[in-house]
Amino acid sequence: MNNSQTPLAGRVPAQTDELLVVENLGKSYGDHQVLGDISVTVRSGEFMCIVGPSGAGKTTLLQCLSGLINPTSGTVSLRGKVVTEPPAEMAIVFQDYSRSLMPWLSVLDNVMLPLRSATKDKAERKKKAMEALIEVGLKDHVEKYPWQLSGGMQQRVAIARALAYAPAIVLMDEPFASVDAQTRGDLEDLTLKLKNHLGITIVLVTHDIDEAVYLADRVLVLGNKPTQVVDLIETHLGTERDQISTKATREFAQLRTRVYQEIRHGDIPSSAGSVAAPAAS
Amino acid sequence: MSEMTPKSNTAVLAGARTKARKGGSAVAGRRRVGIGPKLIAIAGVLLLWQLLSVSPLVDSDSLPAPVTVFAALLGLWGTGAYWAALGTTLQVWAIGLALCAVIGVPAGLLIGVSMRATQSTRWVIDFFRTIPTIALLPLVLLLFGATSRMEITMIVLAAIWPLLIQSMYAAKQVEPLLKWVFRVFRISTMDRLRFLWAPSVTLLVSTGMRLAATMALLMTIAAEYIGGAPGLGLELSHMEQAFKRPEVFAYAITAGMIGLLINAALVLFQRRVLWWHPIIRGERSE
Repeated sequence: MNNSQTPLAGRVPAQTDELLVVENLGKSYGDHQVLGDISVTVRSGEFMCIVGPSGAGKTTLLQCLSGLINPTSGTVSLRGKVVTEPPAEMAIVFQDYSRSLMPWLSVLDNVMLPLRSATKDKAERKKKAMEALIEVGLKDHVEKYPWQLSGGMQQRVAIARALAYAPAIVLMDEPFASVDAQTRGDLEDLTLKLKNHLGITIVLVTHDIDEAVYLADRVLVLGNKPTQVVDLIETHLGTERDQISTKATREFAQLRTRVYQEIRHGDIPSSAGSVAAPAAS
Repeated sequence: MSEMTPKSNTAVLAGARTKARKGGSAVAGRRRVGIGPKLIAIAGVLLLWQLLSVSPLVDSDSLPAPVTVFAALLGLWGTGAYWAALGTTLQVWAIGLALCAVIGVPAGLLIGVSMRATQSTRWVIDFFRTIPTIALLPLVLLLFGATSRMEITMIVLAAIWPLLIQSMYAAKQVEPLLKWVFRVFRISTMDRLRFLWAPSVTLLVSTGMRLAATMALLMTIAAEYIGGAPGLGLELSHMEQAFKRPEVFAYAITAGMIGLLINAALVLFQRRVLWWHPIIRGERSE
């Protein structure tokens, strides 16, 4: 479906850098079809944002991608292996940091816990966790408890926990939806920095169009009931992005308008398509 | 210098941690009702009792004055029978409660984990927990006689239900998102029990323990009093038959004080272990 939109992009990297391949993914609960027929390929090292109207089953899609729930039809494969349970090369950052961190463990212990099975040496675990915490700017807060930190800092802990796990791919489920606007901007820039710094692949689900365009190398636009792929857009905004100057560019505005229209109409608008298409290509 | 840095750094961090914890209790100290008002409440009750005992409303033989009762209590403290009875009661109580915990907590958690098991067992549990256990005493007495086995059986029959039910709820209260976090990071089953389940269920299980502890104590003394097994309840019964009213009250007060101490100890345990818990933190800051 999306291949017709980006025929070149679909063909060229096929052998080289396909990391996460989603093929004809569908999920139903009884008669209720949540996910339609979704096919998309996440390339190694890219930042993909999944955006769609609220109630579009974005979170269900993410759960299927991570193997937390099994799809009704189709497959998800990571590096060629079909995902049936959460793979070791994958980490998730959830929206609700207050519930996804353990209040009975310190920040450092929260980050170290997932490393217990793979890294037997405690000093080694601590080293990895500290590196991740330094990376997200929490060096001075490692002995505190999550509930002693602000929301933005708690989400940084969750990000550090994902990083310390050293995954090939990080899934983020509306990670910045529960923090204030200023913090959100900071966390977006932190995430971009980490992605460029560490070369990890990120798939981020959001309902915020600006956020999706600002962060993504490619934006996957989803339509509603059942959820399906409307469009897959290359942003071409470069690796260095800035909250003020990038969002002020003409390209950003065009992308934003295009995604907005696609979400509103649940389809690629024929009138807008001719305007928006050059911006994407 | 460079050697000093990490050391002093951890010291500062440790300091920050105790500070944060102390900060919590400092707030609590400001707002929580201190020992003073509690003592005033006790004094009020004693005064009321004294007034009632000297008033023409009650016969002074049936309700001795608090002063007389405390004199009797002091007298009992000098006897070996009192301490032996106290020891026996506490021992039986502890064994009974431990048995309740060993059976009730795992059973409750296992039932609570499964929605199907919860629904299937609902009628059975509601039926058994509503039976007034004391009504089963003649039956149990017939089986075991006036022994500690009889008492322990009675304790388990009475006190296991709050533990079982609280444990069932505890299993359901484990944060679903955290369960996902543990799955996503492929955390081992042992670590899952230790770092997710144990901390998550402690509040409700320990609340169940508080309920069960009180109920077990009541049942121990009732089984001694009615069933005739040795302990505080039997001593109380003997005193009653000897028309030693102040001593009867002294034993009753002893039971009340044990209950108070047990509950205080369990609350202290909860505060110590669950200091991170939002509910305990809220209790402290309000």
